[in-house]
Amino acid sequence: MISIIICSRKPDIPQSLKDNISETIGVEYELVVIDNSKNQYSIFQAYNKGVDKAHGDILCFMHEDILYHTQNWGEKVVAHFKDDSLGLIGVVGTHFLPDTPSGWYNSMVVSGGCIQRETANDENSAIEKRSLQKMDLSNSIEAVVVDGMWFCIKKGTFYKIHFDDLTFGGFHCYDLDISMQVLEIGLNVRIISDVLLEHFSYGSFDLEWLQSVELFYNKWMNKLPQIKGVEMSETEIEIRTEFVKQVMVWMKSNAFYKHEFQKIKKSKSYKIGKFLLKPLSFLK
Amino acid sequence: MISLIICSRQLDITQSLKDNISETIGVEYELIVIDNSKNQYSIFQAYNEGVRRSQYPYLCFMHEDILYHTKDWGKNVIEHFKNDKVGLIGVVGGHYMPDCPASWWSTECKSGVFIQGYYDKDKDYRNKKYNWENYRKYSEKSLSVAAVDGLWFCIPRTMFRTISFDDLTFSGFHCYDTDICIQVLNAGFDVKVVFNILIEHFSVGNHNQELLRQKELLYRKWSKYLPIVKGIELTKIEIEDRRIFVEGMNTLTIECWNLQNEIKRIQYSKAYRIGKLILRPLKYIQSIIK
Repeated sequence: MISIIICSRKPDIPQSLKDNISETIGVEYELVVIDNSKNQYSIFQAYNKGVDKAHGDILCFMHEDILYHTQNWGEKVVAHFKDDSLGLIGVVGTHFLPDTPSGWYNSMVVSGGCIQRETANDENSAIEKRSLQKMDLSNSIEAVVVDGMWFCIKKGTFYKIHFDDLTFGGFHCYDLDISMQVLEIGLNVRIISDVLLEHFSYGSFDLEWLQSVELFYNKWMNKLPQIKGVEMSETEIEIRTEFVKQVMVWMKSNAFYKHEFQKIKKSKSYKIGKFLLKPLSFLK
Repeated sequence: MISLIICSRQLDITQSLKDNISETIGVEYELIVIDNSKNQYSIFQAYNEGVRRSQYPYLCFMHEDILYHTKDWGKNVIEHFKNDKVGLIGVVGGHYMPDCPASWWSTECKSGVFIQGYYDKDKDYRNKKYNWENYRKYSEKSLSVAAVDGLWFCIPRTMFRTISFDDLTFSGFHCYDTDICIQVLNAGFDVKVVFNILIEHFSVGNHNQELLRQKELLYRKWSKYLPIVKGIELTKIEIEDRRIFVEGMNTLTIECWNLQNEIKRIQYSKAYRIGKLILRPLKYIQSIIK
């Protein structure tokens, strides 16, 4: 049985998602929805709660803004886990995590695919995430970490790993951290290509994200860089690490200025001034 | 045999640079200093003027804040140009110019050996030697590149029958190096980074909004000829990924500048200043009550 664990911003997930799951999964399952409508949990705490409540032997952690396009995807997940060396599967992820603070995507040595939309109401922006490795549709490929929008782990593995709510808070890097834990106990992380999802949001790259990325790097720096499923030359590793460093510098300053911009835009001074000047604009 | 062309911010270059050149060059030379103390020329105009005034077969364009560490470097320059295919040599450059606005270093496929100076936190001068030799497999004296840095480069005088510094497209002090390199390549000659001339560079170029504007002009001019890969082999994925990276960096940079401008716009707006003025006494009273 598969336990589907969802940390929800509302008391429950929408009926359309429930229907979509029951129509597509094709195996016995249970839904474990962690109500986080009051924002009382970090995603680490919520997922740990989910693990405790779950009865299935395979746990599927997923965002609530996902739709399944593959029929009988549950059977495919079960088939993947027949391999005992497998610890975690996801649908998109990276083969290279450099020795510097970074998100999973920044090194661009990524695999996998899903239908990615900018926002929930965006009908036109559907793009298939680019696949770097040409994968056989029945196949999977080794990776270092996967994206948190969707991933599965065997319940048994949680005797050795857990979502690290001591190091981290918030809603970032749980995916990177749990993937690294799986690798650390000697199991494989793989990206599978036979389950197609549609995802309705992008991650937010704000100051909070940057903080989590730093925490993640501090925790795992001794194990980095990690390369799985591809071969990379020394030069290539060096260049891509340099890329990531440069990108992170700019992402950092952008996150900072975004924050400052919001602060000043919403400041009392600006609001009062604007309010007072409004009648004057008629004079012009 | 070598005409040294320098565009100077002062009336003349420093005596120490003059001494350093005369002590190290090892061949006959002339010094052509374009006085740009009133900022009356772009570097394109200044260098063209330098070419007009020069009389020796090899032209060396250099910044005024460098120092030569190699004895008889002039002989090495002439040696490199004995190969008729070589149209330009520099000391540091990039192998890959992507199909998007970029500098020679943007794609991180760099070669060259040089000493870069900088000032540390206490404003003391320090320097660091860079050895970018990843692509140098058989300790060759030079490697083909797509573009070199403008801190120092040499071009045979005869090349200027077909090329010139493009003062019609560009202004200011950016992109003259990449532009002239692509002109040399298009004329059918090689652009090379040489490893047997060691130069110390005292300042780091500044990367500002002007640079990005000039890079966009450069891209518009040459987009048909891009990407250019010289001296190394890159897979399709590597070419594509490095371009995506450079474009991403451009986007991030523009986004950052826009945000900074937006913040400034509010800071200097009447509304914000009036609001601050009104709130100031209130905040003062609040702090007294506390």
